[in-house]
Amino acid sequence: MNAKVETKPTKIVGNVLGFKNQKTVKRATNIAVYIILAVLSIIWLAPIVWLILDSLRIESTGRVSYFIPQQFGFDNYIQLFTDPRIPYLQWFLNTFIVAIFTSLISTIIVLLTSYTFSRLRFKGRQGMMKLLMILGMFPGFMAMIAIYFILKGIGLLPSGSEQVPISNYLISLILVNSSGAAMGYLVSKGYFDTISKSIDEAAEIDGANKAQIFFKIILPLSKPILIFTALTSFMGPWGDYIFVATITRQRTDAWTIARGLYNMLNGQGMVAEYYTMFAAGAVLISIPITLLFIWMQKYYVSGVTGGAVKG
Amino acid sequence: MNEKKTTPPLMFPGQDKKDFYLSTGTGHYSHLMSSFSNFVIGLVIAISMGGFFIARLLHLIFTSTSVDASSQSAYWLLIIATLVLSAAALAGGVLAAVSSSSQRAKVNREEVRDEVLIKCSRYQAIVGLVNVILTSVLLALEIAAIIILSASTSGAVITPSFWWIILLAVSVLASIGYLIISLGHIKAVKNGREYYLAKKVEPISMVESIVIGIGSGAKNLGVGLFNFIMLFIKAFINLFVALYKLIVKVAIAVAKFAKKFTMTFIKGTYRTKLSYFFMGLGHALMGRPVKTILYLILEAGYWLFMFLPQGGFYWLSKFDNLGDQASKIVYECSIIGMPINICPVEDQIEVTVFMDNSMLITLFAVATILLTVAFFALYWISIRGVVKAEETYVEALKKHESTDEGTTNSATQEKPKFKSPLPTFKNEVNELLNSRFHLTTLSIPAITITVFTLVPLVFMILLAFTNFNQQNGPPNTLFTWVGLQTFAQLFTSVGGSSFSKAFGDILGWTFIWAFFATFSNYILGLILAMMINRKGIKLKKMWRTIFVITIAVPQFVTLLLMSQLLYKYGPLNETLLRLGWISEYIDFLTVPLNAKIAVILVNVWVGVPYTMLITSGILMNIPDDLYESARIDGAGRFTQFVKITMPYMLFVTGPYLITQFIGNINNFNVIFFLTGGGPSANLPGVEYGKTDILVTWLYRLTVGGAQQEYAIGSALGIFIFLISAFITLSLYAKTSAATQEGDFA
Repeated sequence: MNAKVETKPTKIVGNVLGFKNQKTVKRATNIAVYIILAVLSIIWLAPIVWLILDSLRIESTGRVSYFIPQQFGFDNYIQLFTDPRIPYLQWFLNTFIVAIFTSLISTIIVLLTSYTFSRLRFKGRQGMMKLLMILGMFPGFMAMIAIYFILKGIGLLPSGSEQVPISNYLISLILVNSSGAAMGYLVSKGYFDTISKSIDEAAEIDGANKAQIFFKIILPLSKPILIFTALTSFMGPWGDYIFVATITRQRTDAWTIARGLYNMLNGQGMVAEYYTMFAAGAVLISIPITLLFIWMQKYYVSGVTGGAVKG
Repeated sequence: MNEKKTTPPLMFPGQDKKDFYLSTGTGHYSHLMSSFSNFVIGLVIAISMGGFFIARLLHLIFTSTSVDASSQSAYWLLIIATLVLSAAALAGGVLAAVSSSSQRAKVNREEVRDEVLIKCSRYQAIVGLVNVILTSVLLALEIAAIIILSASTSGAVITPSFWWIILLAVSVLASIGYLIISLGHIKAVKNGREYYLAKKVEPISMVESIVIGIGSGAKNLGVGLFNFIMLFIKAFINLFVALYKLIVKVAIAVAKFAKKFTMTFIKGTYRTKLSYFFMGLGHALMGRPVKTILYLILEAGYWLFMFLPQGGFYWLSKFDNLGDQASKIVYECSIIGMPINICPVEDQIEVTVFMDNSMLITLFAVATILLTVAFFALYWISIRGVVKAEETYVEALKKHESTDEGTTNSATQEKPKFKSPLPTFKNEVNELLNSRFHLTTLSIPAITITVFTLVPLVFMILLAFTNFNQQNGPPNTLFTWVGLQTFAQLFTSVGGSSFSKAFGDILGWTFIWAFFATFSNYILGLILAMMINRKGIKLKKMWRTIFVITIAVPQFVTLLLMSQLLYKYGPLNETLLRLGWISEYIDFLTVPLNAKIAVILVNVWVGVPYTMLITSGILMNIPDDLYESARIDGAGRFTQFVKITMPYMLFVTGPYLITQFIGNINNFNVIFFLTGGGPSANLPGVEYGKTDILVTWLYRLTVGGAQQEYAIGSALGIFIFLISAFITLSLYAKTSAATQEGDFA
């Protein structure tokens, strides 16, 4: 009898089934996996394909009960920019402004905060970190209702039926989106933690003060996490509905893309006329975001996980 | 003969002999049990396929009128083939079971018996494999029929059935399972045989093995469940203990501070005492006027703010009852310029003047209180600063005076000037960039957090103790403190409030949703990651990119799209109807149960790529030598998965799972965009929907809906926070990642 220990499980499988070549078995399983992956890919990509198809549909503008359009054309895209009820360009501009400033302010705040917690030691450091963590557990929406009242109280937002300039709304949105930035310090802190402290010490010996160390040495080393933070906080306002809805209410020309697209489907009596335009608008906005997201993935890997993998 | 194995395969520390037998099936009776289970599975497959084939057959015979001859005969062929197959599966199982027991009776020698057992399992395996192939082919044919039919507009020749497809799919899975078990069987017998031949270990009896199996399984389950419950109970107790300790600590700290405050004053020099009234004055008396000026400006600013007509004290005075009168009517003259006392009656008009606004009162009173707290902290810091500076200053002064005698410059009869050892203002500014850098860096975040997070939060928390809603709200009416009444309204049905019913409903669904959403995404993402990660699969990056694209598209776009897909008269329903899968439109989003299931499924679509990415990264990091040594020890793939992959994954992704769970409790987007909270629950007096979770209900109560129940919304928000905090703190401490950092072996 053979008491030799089998080292490959597939060998046993092969022996059992009479296949002398265990590679065949392995290949069969692999083929099965390929099939499953292909099916899943189709399921996952199908809705997006459908969105694109619907944006090119021109025989009707409402909801229909078939997937593939009968007539193809770019009318919806053109109408996006010419329909007076849909100030798409204005929405895009609004969202862009809010996103840029939010990104700027958030990045500065987050980097300062996470650097401080990572590198500097002072009384109350642990307490502050715990406090920030606890503050982060409150539903963000709760603070937002209060912020809405505050902004109404200081006159930035209208409390009656008067009109305020759009910039007021944008400023409010920027404030709302960047206010909670410091509470997201954990990821950046992790990155800073992996930068060797001997760099700091060497610089201190050379006579640099902490501020100089931060700006001249650490910051250039943190390009991945900087870009990651900037990109994530840039992409936030594009998809944010709830803040915008609370702050801008019915002021159509102060809306952002998300709010506007939502209204195209769920506004009163809008969907029959604007469904395909919704599809077109959604496609237009998805392209840059998708590209940004994919570009950001690179920095995600090197910024969030790359720094932590040490040999 | 090669070197015999003397170490048992896959014996983990702490595993005793009996567990080991069960895991590898060395005991012949446990092998019998596996044969039996194989038989049962074969039976299930046979019945399911056979039974439904018969149903199908009947359906075909009695409903189709003009059927294409060739396709019908093809179908007949398939039916017969699968029937035969099911019988074969059944037979194989029976054969294995019977032969193993009969052989045992006849044969004494262990190796021969095992050979027979292996042979039977081999038959089973072949049967299982063929089963798999045929059921897959049938499934593929059924799907092909659908695709062909959907392209044609004429009536269906053979109407595929939705349930049929489901059953076929289940049969495929069962067949695969059958195959795997048969294979694992053989493996186990071979391993076990080597081991106990080498060791001459006594096999255990059948009864023993059954009892042990059931017993240890039950024990594991029971212990696990018990530990889990104790976790929460302990966390609860810990919470109260911690709270108590916190209160005691705070009380002691307050007392100590009060003592220090007064003692510093009493024992302080004139500089200190003056600094109590004029912030930072002591510094000026020690040669550092700039600091004093800055402090005094602050002090002046604060008191100015407090005493202004619409300043601090004004708001604080109104804080106790949040306003006395919301508005009053005054009379003005419509004739411009004429004072009211000589205005004729018919020209007088009523004008409403708004006075107290409860919301603003609360807000500004909170701001005032926080400002006062901040100012007091600064005040105390200034005093301490003076005291500390004074120590070094007085010390140096004494030294100067004492060494000064006798060193008078005889030439100029001048005393050398006293140089203060205290840092100048310029030095202090430099310190802010160095040893005190944290003050500089944290100042901006601290301000933004305080203004935009802390003040609003305290404000909202206080609102929960009022009765702020549409009826009691500015600008026309006041609201006031009601203590815990709002909480009572939300959690209980006191006063006939129906909020508690809505609350209970929504709370239950929130937890069910969070559980299913988190775990479905995790497990499916893990399986997907494992598939892509397999050694033989090429184009790994391409597969991952495909799934990444689906999450790169903004979530609100995909969710809104899904809500249109599932529309009652939308394309999905229409296609299903035309294919004959359903006989009337399915109400995906307007029937509560359907909506709930739809939401979970759509969430899978949205979230699996995320979990796939994360688990991918971790899977790639599992050191390969763990798998190597397991393979050398003879572990099968399934055992490897259960004993290596799963524990490692749970260890590393423990915190992630908790964060996801809490995140799903607060997952506004998916629910809101898909169903808007779902079909309305139609509870009079309370607006809520059947797929509402706590946060979406919060939105509906305050901003989104017609009711403006801000007080109840605040109470709800506090509750959400408490739940999130509680779960995080109690589970976080338990997960291995937090406790045994490197102890994972």
